[in-house]
Amino acid sequence: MGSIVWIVIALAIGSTALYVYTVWYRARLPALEMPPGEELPATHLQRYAGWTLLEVGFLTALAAAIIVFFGPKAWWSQDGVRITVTIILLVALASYLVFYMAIRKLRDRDDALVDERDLVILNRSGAGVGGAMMAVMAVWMIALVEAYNDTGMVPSYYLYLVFWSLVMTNVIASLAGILLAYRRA
Amino acid sequence: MAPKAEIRNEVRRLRFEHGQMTQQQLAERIGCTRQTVIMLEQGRYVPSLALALRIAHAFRTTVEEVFTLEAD
Repeated sequence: MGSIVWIVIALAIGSTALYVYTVWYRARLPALEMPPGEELPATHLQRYAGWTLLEVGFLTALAAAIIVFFGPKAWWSQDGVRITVTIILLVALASYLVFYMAIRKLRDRDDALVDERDLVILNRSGAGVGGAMMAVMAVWMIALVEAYNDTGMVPSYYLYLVFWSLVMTNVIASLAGILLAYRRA
Repeated sequence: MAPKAEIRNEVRRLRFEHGQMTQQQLAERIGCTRQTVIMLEQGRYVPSLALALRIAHAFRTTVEEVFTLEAD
């Protein structure tokens, strides 16, 4: 099987496991009672994290689509592909930085737009980042071994792709962790 | 070992006894978000000591009047 198929299978299994765990965890919490027709108001941190996750997710998917379309080898052989993908990923990282700085600024304000519960959730949100990075690393390992076991040599450009995928996994897992922590809180 | 305990609060009752104060008004007074007030009232969030004191001050009462420790 190709490495892309392995990655899709691993992501599908990981997402399903996460979804089942979240549903199971929420079922244990006491039901949230809200007046009819009213929803739990989202906090600023929740809204910003959601928008940044959409933005970073879209940019990462775009970068991945370019690499899949041109093939991983294009990272090495075509400067245009490498520069375009790098710029897209740097813009995604800049979005995350802007989000982080905005939250720090809100935290320091007196009008409590980010309060102590938000900070507890923010601290708790990183719990799954290590696991997500290990899962991505495992997928890469399996995919590369499957694809290059016969030759015994993995092309060096994959190191860059592994690096960038881990960086983006860190960012996406951090943002998704905030949203999940609110659902579990 | 201390028994497992649950912290209950009277925030919702006190809010209504203080001129039907809205959740948003209380949130602004104690320096937190409305979501935190909702979670507090439904027992899904236990506040820090500082926030507990601010809640008590907002209702001009003591922390013990707002929060009680209930052992299993």
